[in-house]
Amino acid sequence: MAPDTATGSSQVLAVEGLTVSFRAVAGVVPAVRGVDVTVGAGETVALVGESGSGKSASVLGMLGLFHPDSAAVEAERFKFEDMELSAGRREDLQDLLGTRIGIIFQDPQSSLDPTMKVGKQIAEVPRLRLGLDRETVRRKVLDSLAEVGIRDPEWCASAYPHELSGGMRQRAMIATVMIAGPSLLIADEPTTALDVTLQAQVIDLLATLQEERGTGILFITHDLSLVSEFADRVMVMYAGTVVESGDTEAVVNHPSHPYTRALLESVPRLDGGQVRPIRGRPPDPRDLPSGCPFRTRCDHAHERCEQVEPPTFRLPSGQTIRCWLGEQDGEPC
Amino acid sequence: MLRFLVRRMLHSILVLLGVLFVVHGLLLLTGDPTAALLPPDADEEVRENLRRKHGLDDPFPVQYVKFVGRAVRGDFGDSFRQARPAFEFVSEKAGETIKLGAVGLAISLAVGGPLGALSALRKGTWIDRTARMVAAMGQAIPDFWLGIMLILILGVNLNWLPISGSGDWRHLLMPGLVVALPTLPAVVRIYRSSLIGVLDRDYVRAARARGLKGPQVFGRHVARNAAIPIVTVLAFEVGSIMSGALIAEVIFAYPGMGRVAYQAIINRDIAVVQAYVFMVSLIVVTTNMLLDIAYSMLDPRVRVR
Amino acid sequence: MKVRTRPDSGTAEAATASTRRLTRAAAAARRRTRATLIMSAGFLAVIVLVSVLAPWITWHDPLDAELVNRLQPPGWLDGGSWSYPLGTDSTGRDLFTRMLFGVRLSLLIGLAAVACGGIIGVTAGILAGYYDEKIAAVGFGRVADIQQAIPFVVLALAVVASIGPSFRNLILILGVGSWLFYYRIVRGEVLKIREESYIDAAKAMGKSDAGILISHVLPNSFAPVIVIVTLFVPRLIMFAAALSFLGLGVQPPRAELGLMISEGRGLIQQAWWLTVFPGALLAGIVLAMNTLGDWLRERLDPTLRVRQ
Repeated sequence: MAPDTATGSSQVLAVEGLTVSFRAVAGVVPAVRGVDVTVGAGETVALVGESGSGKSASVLGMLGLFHPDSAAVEAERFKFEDMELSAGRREDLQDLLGTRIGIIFQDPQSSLDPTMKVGKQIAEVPRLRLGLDRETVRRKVLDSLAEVGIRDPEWCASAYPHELSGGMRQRAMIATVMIAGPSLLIADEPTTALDVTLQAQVIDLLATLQEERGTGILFITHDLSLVSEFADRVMVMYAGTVVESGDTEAVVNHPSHPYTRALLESVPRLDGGQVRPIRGRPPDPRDLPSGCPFRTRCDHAHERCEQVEPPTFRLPSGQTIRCWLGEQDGEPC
Repeated sequence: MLRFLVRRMLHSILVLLGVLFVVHGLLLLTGDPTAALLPPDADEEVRENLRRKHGLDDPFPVQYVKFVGRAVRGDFGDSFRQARPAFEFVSEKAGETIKLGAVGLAISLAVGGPLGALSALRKGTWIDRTARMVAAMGQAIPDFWLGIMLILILGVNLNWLPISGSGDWRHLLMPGLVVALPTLPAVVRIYRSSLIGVLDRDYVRAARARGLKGPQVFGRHVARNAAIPIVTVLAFEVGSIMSGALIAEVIFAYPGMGRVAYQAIINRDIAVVQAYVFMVSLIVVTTNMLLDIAYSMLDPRVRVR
Repeated sequence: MKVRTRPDSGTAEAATASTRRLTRAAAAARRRTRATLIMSAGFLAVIVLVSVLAPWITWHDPLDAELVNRLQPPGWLDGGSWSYPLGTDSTGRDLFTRMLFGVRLSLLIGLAAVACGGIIGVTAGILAGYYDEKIAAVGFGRVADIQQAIPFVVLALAVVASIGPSFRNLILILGVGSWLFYYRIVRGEVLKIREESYIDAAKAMGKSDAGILISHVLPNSFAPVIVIVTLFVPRLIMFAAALSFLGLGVQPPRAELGLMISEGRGLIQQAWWLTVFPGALLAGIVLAMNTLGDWLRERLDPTLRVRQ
C-alpha cells in the first residue's frame, strides 16, 4: 500500500477531541473520551481494541449513525476531505454517506436485509443516491459484483442473502459499499465473522480495491496481529481513549504501552512466543477506575497511576503512548 | 410450495376433526341429547326416531364417526325453533360476521400500525408515551363496556351513528370499533417492539450508512421486516376477533351468526350452537392457513420452493 | 499527522449540552416509571383492602332492593342523596355497595380461575416435561391447536349452552381456557431442570419421582408461573366480566361488575351511572394490574426486556 501518500496534503478524514456518550438506565455512559483520528488518501489506519473499548462507538458516533436520543457526540474538529463538518450531525453527513464514505460491518449475514434481493440492495446507492437510470444501475451492480470477485453476478444479484455463502455475502456487502467509489472506507471488524481463509481473501480484496482507487481505509478490529500485515498506522484503544498510536512497524515491533504489550502477548504468534492472557477484565465504562483506566490490570501500576490519568507522550521510536512510562524518554505533546 | 400447502391443509383438517369431537361432546355433556335437540313437548316416538337417526345408542366412536359423516355434509341437525337445518341458518349469517370481523381487523391495523410505528420511531418522547398509554387503555377497557359507551355518546347523545341493526357502512363503525379494541393494543405493542428490534439491526444501520434518508430506510428495510411478527400475532388474534364479533353483535343487535347462536342458547337450541362453533372454527382455521401463506411470502427465508 | 488524545476532554466538567440533555431525559424516564408504579400499586392496595372489608365499609346490603329509592342519581346530582353516593339501580339497590361487592367477587373469580387453570396446567406441564416429552408434546400440542381454533368466548357460549351457567362452570371455563399457557411454560422449564445435576443427585439418593417433582422441580419452575399469573389475573377478571355481561357467568341477583353493566345497559338513557361507574372501575383495576404485571414480568424475565 502507499504510505507516502498519507503524509501528503490529501487527508481524507481529520477528527480531534471526539467524545461519545450513551444514555443508559443508570444515566449517561462515556464510551469515547477524547480521541483524535486522521486518515490519508490511500492510507490504512487500524483502530484496535477489545470490545467495549469504544472503537466502534467512535466511528459510528462521528458519522451520526446513533440515534440522537440515545447517544451524544461531540468533537472539537471534524473534517472530511476539505469540508469542515460537525461530528455526529446527521444532516452534515447525509450526502456523504454511501457516496464518499462507505462502511462495511462485522457480520455480512446480518448487514444485508434478509427480505430483499442482494442486487436490489447493491443498487440502492446508485439508484437512490446518485439517481442513475435503471439500465445503468443494473450494469453497475453486475460490474461491481464481478469486481469483488463473484463468479456469477447475474445469479447473485437475484438471490436473497440467505442463499449466499458467508464469503459471498461479505463480498456482496463490499460491493454495496464500493459501488459509488468512496474516498473513505470504514471497515468495522469486516473479517471477524469469517474463517481464516476468507479473512485473507477479504483483506486482499480490500487492498486491491484500495490500490486501484486510492481509498483511505479505517479498519476497526480487536486483532492486533491481523493488522500488522497491512495497516500503515495503528491506534490502540482502551476504555474510550487511544493509549498507543504510531506507524504499524513501531507499535508492533516496539509496543510501549503495557496494554499494547499485553495485547500482543495474549495472541499466539508464529514465532512461538508464550501466550499470556491479559489478567482481569476491561473496566465498566459506567464505573471507570480513578487515574489511568488500565492500572487495575497493569503490572507497572504505581501510586501516581491511581491519582492522575497520564497525558500523552511522544517516544523516540515514533509512536505516542498515554502512560506514565513515557515520561522518561518521551516528551509530552 | 405445493407440498407445504398440502401439509398445511391436512393439518387444518385434523384440527377441524378435533373441533367436531368437542362439538359432539357438547351434545353429550347436556346429559340427554334428545332433550337438547328437540322441543320440550316432543313426544316419545319423535325422540326414538332421533336416537336411531343420530345413533345415540351406539358406542361413542361410532357415534362420532356418524356425526363427522353428517357434519362434512353440513348436516348438524335441525334447529327446532327455525324448523330448518341449523347449519344453513348459521351459514347464511356468516357473511355478516366475517364482514364485521374484517372491519374490526382493518380498524385495529389502520390505527394500531401507525401508532406502533410512531411510538417506535419517537421512542421515549411524548408521542411514544401517548401511544403506549392508548395501548394500555385499550387492553384495560372491556370491549362490551366500550360498546355501550359508544352507544351512549355517539348514538344517543350526539346521534351520529345508528345504535343497532345493519345496513350501510355507518352500521359497521361502532361494532367494528368494539371488535378492534382487544386486537389494537396487541398490534401497537408488537409493531412497536418489533420495529425497535428491526431499527437496531445491522442491515438497517447499513442502509443508513449508505446515506438513505429516514423514510427510504423505513419503507425499504424496516416496515416489511417489522411486519412479520404482526402476521404471527394475528393468527392468535383471529380468535379474539371472533369473540369480539359475538359481543358486538349482541350489543348492537347486528344480524350475524354470533347473535343467532346467542339467541339459540336462550332458546336452548343446541344444534344451532353446534353449527356456530364449527363455523367459527372453520373461519379461524382457514384464516390461520392464509396467514401462514402470507408469512411465507413476507419472509423469503421460510419460503418453500 | 497528529495522533494524540486529550486527557481533559470527555470528563464530567466537559459535559456539553447534548450530554446534559441525555442525562435529563434518562432521569425523567425513571421518575415517570416510578410514579406509574406507585400509583398502580396504591390503587390496587386500596381495591384489595376495600373488597376484603366491603361488608364493614358500606351501610347498605348489595342485594337489598328498595323499590321506593329506585334509579336515584349519584349524590352530587340533582335529586341524588349522599346515602347512595353513586346512585341506585332499577330495584333501588345502592350502586356503590354493589360495586364494592362486585369487585370482591371479581377478584375472587380471578384468583379461583387462575388457581384452576394453574393447577391443571402446572400438573400437566410437570408430568409432560418430566416423563415422556414426545407423546405428551404431540398430544397436548393437538389439544392446543384445537383450543386455538375455538375462540374463548365462543367456547364459553357453547359450554354454557350444554351445561348451563353457574359460578362453578364459570371458573371451570376460565380455567380450561387458560391452562395451556401454564402448561407450555412449565413444561419448557421442567425440560431444562430435568438436565440439572441436582436432579441426578436426588435420584442417586433414592428419592422417588413424586418426591423429586414436589421438592425440586415444582419450586424451580415457580418464577415463570408467577409471570403468567400476573398476566392472567386481570385477563380472566375481564373475561369473567364479559361472560357475566352476556349472561353466561355470574347470575343475578349477585353483584358482579360485568353483570351490573349488562343490567344497566337497557337503562342507559335514564341511568347512565349504572354502566359508566362499574365499567370505569373494571378498566381501572385491569389497567393497574397490567401495569404492575408488565413491570414484574420485566424484572423476572430479562429476555422479555426491550433494550433501552
